Amino acid sequence: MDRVKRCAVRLSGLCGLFLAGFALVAGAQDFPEGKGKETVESVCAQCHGLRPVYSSKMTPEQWKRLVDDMVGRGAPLLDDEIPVVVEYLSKSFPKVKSDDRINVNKATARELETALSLSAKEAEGIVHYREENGYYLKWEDLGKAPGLESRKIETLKDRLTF
Amino acid sequence: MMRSLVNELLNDRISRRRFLSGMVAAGYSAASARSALQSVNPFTPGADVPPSLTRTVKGTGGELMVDQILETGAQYIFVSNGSGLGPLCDAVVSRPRLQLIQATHEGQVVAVADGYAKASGKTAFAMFSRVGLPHSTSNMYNASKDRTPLVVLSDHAEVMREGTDSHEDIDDWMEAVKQYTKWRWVVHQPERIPEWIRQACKVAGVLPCGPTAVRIFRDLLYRENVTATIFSGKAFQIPMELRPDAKEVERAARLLLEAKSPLLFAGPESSQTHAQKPLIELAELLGMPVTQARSFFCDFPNFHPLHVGELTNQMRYPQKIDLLLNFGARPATGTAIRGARIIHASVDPETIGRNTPLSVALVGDLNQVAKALVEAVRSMASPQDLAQRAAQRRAECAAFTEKVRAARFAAARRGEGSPIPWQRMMVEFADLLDKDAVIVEEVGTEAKILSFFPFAEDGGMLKVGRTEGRALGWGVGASAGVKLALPNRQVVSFQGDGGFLFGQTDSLWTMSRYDIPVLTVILDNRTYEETRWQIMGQMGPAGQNNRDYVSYLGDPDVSFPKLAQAHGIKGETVQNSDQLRPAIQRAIKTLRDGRPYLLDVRLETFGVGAEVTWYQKFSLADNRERKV
Repeated sequence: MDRVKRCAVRLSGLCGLFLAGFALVAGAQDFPEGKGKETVESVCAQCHGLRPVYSSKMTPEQWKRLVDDMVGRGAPLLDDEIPVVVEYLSKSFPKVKSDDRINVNKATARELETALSLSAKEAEGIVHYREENGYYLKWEDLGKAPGLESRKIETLKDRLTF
Repeated sequence: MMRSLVNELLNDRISRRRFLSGMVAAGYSAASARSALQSVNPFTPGADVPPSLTRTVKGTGGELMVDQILETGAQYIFVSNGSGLGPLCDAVVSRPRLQLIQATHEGQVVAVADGYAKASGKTAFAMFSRVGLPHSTSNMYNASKDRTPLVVLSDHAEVMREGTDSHEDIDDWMEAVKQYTKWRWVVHQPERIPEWIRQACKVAGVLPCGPTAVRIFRDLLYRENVTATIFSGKAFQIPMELRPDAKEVERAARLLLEAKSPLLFAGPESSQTHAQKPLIELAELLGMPVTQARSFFCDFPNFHPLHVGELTNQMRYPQKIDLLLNFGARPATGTAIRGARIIHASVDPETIGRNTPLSVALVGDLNQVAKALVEAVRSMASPQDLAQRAAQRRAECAAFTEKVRAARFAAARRGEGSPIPWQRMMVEFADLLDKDAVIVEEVGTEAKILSFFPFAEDGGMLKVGRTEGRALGWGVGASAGVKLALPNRQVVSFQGDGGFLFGQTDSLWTMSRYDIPVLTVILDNRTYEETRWQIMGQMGPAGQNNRDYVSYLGDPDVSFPKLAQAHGIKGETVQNSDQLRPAIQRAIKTLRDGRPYLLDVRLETFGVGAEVTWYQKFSLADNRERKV
């Protein structure tokens, strides 16, 4: 068990009082920049790992209801912070309609860069690997492309088709 | 250590002098050790007991058992059906003072008894047939984790059949409950039945409390013309408020005064010793923020301005903690208190220092410890000095907790519609329930309860549950026991739909039979929500493929009101937030009329797998080769 996971297991025991179900792997994910980022990172991490946050993709209404739910469970957010946090989460982790998704086996590097907010180098890495090795079959396969971090791929997985 | 010393003394394996020296070696003061000896003394072999406290009784073994149970002050004995209860049934014909409360199986017998013991503070007696012991162990485990004082009785094989692998017998029944009991015994002599009942009662009720188990050979319970000595109840009611060591109290008080950012971590022993009042005084005196440890009670008023919620790894307030005062909880851990000095006060020396290094250990009754700390702090600083030290912390903390609470209630009141947000349901209950209502809860996240109901020992609500053991199948039976202990307070039980189905719907039978007016509220989101989060949230193959193998509860979609109706209990389903208030009012009226009620509240679910209704479908009917 690696160090992060061990830490998460301990967290899970400690924080079980309020949020046993969310105490998963404490991610070191770099959240997208934006107003509310620091509050999300500090308040959410009080009780559970950040992976459930960056793994979730929801509509603004769903994020609002989830944040209200978490506040009910003891997340110490103040009244004026709640809308900021909801807006940040809605923008950073939006629910993607199926027709908004991009086919990683057909898209050009430029299209990947724009649609997925990747750097030019990352997008080119995806295309290069595809041309050398064939189609990607599942989102985890993108981990083989040079220059892409696995955590970043995971945040994008709902926006991909194959 | 104290527990084992008491056992040794009661079983005549050590002398009283050895007991005293052992207690002192374990960290108790000499006065505390003497006090403990005085408490245990009437039960030790050869102890002198004034004649007024004893009487000689002649009867069946079962009659002697009941006589001694009645002398402890017990009003109820919690039972299930079983042929082994024959001697008990025969005995109570002429001893109707002892009321039998029956549950349909042993697991719920222990749950009802556990709820009764927790709410009354008295040792509860349960009895079931000899083969019922294995079924009882899930809730015995819960009781042992919570250190609830229970005496669990059952009959045993006939004397001449023991140890022969005979009908309804195994070689060592007590091995199976060893982990869940403080003490256990198989009674071999009929004239000693009352003596072992006393021991079981005493050991169960001495802090730290816990279940004890006694098995009595069935033929000895039926044996006639047995003569034995019964001890009066007065001999059991010995106050045992062990005082802490004065020097250690002084050291602790000094550290508390020196601390720049102390934090109080309140645990269940505070409530068990009724220490809340002096504890509040101590926190207010120092302007010390308070967190709640895992506990089946709320051990410090949760709406107090100094109450900041739970101890998390990354506290928003206070951000830096340089001293943690653990008051009656298991050891606290986590990064928030890394580097902090730790003072641990407990009735149980075995708990203190078990896995955390300590600056000061305070052993004793926590009411006495809290009072002594208040006195010591006051003696070391002038009132002006204390006020100055505490004022800023108190003001900062109060401002924080007030804002957080206001945001929480505002967010909860925003929730509406169908399915209902759970927090909206809670605020409606908070508005409508009695100010001193008792909440029995067995929901996954305790904050769902702690966030919305104001608990306080002095005139506020009382929280009982969830158990520290977390073995589901406790709350429904326990709520019946709580109401028996506190008949003049409104009792509302909150259950998850999954937990409700964990072998405890049976306790509706007990509520209905005995007119126990408890309101059972099912938080019905048709899922084991938090296990779904844990399992699918790991994002292993099950999570990635939206496979919910064990958490989805929507098929079959159980009608809980019909289940209640089958037990003669009225109930209804609440689908929309607009329906909440009138439904709760109908429920409250039914309680006032003396009958239980059930509300099935359809709630929304969130997070990983919330939209998944997939489960591994299987139809045995479709797989048959013959349609029979």
